[in-house]
Amino acid sequence: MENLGALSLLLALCIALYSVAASITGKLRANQFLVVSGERAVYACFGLVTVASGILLAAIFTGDFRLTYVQQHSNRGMPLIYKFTAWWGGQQGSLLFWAWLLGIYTVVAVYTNRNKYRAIMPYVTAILMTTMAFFLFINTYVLSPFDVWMAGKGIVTPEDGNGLNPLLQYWTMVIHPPMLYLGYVGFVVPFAFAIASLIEKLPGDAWINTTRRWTLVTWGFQSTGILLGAGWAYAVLGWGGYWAWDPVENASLMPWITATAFLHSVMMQEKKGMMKVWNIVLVSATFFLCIFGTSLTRSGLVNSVHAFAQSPIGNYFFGFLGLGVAATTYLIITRLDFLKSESHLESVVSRESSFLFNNLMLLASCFAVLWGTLFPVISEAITGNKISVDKPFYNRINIPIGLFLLFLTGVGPLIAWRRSSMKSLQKAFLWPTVGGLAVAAICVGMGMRDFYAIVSFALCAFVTLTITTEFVKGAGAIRTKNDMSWIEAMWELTHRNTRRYGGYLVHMGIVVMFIGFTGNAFNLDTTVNVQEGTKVTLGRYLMTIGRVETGKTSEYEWGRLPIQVSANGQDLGTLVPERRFYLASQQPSSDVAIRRRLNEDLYLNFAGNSNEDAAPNSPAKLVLQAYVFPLVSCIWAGFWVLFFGTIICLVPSKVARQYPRTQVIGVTTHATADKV
Amino acid sequence: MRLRTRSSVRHWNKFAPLAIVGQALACAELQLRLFLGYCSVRKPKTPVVAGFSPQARQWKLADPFSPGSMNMVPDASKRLQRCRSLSPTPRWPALMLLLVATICLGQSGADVWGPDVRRVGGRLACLCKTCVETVGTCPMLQCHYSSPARQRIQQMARLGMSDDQMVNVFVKENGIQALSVPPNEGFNSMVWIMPWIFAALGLGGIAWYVRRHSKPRPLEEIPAGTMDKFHSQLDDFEKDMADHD
Repeated sequence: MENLGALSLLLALCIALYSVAASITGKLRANQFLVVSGERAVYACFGLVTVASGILLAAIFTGDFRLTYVQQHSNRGMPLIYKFTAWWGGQQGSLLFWAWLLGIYTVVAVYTNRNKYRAIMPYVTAILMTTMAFFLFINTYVLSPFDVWMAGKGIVTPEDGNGLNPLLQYWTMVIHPPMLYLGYVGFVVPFAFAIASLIEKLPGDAWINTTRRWTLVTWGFQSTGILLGAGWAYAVLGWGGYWAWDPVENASLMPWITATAFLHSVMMQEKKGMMKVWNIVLVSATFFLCIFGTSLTRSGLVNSVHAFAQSPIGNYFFGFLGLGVAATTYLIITRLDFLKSESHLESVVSRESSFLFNNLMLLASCFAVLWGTLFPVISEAITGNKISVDKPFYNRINIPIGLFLLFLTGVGPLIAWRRSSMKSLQKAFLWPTVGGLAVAAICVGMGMRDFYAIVSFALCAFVTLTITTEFVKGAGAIRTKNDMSWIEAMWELTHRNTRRYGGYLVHMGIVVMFIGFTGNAFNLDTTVNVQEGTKVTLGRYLMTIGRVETGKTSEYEWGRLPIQVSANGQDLGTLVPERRFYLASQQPSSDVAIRRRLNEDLYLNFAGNSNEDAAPNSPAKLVLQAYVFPLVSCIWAGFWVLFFGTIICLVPSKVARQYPRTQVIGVTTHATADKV
Repeated sequence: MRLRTRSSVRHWNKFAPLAIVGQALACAELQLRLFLGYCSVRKPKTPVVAGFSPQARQWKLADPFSPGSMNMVPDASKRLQRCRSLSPTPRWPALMLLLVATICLGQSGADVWGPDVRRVGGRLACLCKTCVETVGTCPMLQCHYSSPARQRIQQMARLGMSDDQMVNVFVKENGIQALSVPPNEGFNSMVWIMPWIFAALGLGGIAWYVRRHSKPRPLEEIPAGTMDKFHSQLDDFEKDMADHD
């Protein structure tokens, strides 16, 4: 079967290359048969990649440990769902998964546009299939998932596999990688349309109209993937952190930031015909950062706990990246005339300006993350000294940037397009500013002294009030006119312009998440040696340690530590954190116990023994890590608001919106007026 | 409600200071009696807590002064027997003090790492190559780098070394990569400067964009004869209107 799988991948590679050649030749020679043939090759290629993926999955499910990949990433004792996740649990399988998802996207893009944009579709197909060919090349010639264990010339069949990393055996890990990959891979489609439009010098903003939803869907996937990863880290790693500024985490954040900037600046192009070069740069940067992020996790360029094993594919990725960046830069430079702005900025105090600042701040944040991630490598190459750039750097740079972005989130809706008068600004800003200052005063009154925390809470109040004002004003007008209830009016308002009000909901989600991030300033934690009967106090919680229970399953040995929790004399029940020791991989793992509430989480981790040499369940050596995380649930709640807002944005508006360009043709000078 | 920040919090069992003082006093008193050979210890009517038995996983109830007890000092059994026969002094105040103190200490969870580790460890990078945490915040208890580093910080703090001295010890051993963020000097200052240079350049770019794109374009020059044509058309129009009247 492994031969059939490898053959499928080889055939898929050949067909992908054919698709590229047929599409470009067909376009250049105006041969529609070749163009259509190139598009049909997309379906064939996807079919073959699906066959290869099916064969790999069958090998994992049936425990065919002759295959190196299957032996290294699965075993007989794993539950079925985690066997499925072993598909993307390792380097080779994840690359195949990447290619398979790209196949789905390509098929959908080609099929839905089979009767549209005929001028650019051959180039779109060629760009998508070039990317596909690159991944298939890696999977065929560099890292094949169908390699078999060999000893000399004889094939070896190990009795059982190593199993999936225990840390990955968690429910969010079933969804997190596919979501993140759907985000990474999905940005190829807007990039392909943008570049095709650039090659063809397609007049108008057709590529933006086509790809806006693609970008939004992909952005939604990326957001979901990142949040699921944060949720996984919070619940599995045993230290309660959801973001560690790890290089691999950064790799997923960077394209998300540039995509966010693109989703904002694209409105400038739609409404005003401005920032055309910038939008092409942003959409290209997003795609290249996705490829960069994919290579960062696999090349061994930087150290990360999340990275796949070091492999030789780094050079291939950087070669692909270099060629892509060079070609895109050439295209942009040679087509600058085609990308000229159609209108002008009328005032610095306008929504256009707020978008410019928003883009600047997002890009500055992205650059800081990229710079911090790569600086140890750059520094070592130049000075020869190894250095560490850890969490404190990222926090120091990104917290002020994040707060300024939060401020702009509130300012944006208050400023009108084109220009805003001082009077209208005073009127619009009055109550949100008063609200923000009131919250800051309350925070100080409550004894809060952390400057950033106070500013953050104040800005959260400010933005909440601006968004609420927008909804209330709009819904109030509809309610008065149509005699509706508030809820009906809100619904009507949102349905009339889903993009605008869905966007506000997304902003609201970000605000709620910021509240959660700010709670980080008030975390409490302790790490204690405990025994049965020990009492541990943390914040308002009193924890009484129970007797350790032990047991064993086919996969792991476990020890459970029941902990009776009370607060202010009131019994809150028993939490039971668990410590596991996986037999196949010989790795320990924690299953933390969390008491989740909206105001704060009590997070208990049974960290096992403080001494490695001690017996596994020696009660004298037990270590408990206890944490109190205020407001952390707001992060997850905020995500759901963001997700809901994204869905709203994707729903077509009740009233079809057209954006007539409000351009300034010119102004008359006194001399000209006199002349006339 | 007063909210506290993470770094300054140390969680003490509220009975711990009392327990430590009590146990110290009780031990001192008993050791003194044993040493001088004057004490007269009678076998207690009720057993007292002697300590935790790892084997039985429960608190061991025993006479703390019986030979072989966990609290027994070496070579003291003979002296103890002699003492028992000598003195009529009751031992219960010392025993009660010891009992209360032991219970207080035994029932409280002891912090594994102290504030020195948090403070100094926060300035040091964990060099385990699998995380980007600091030594003070690395969550892995058995981390091959952070765990010994924390113990060393505790030892150095006990010796009275200052924070800078402790940090310098790690820098001497591992180079500047031991620091969680590079020092703001030489080439490494670039890590701090570049993001702000990027932001400044971006601001400059926005200023340029605003300047360039907010400049109103002058009206195109009106071709010669256009105004004459316009005036003649206007005359024709007025004439037509007059005819209609």
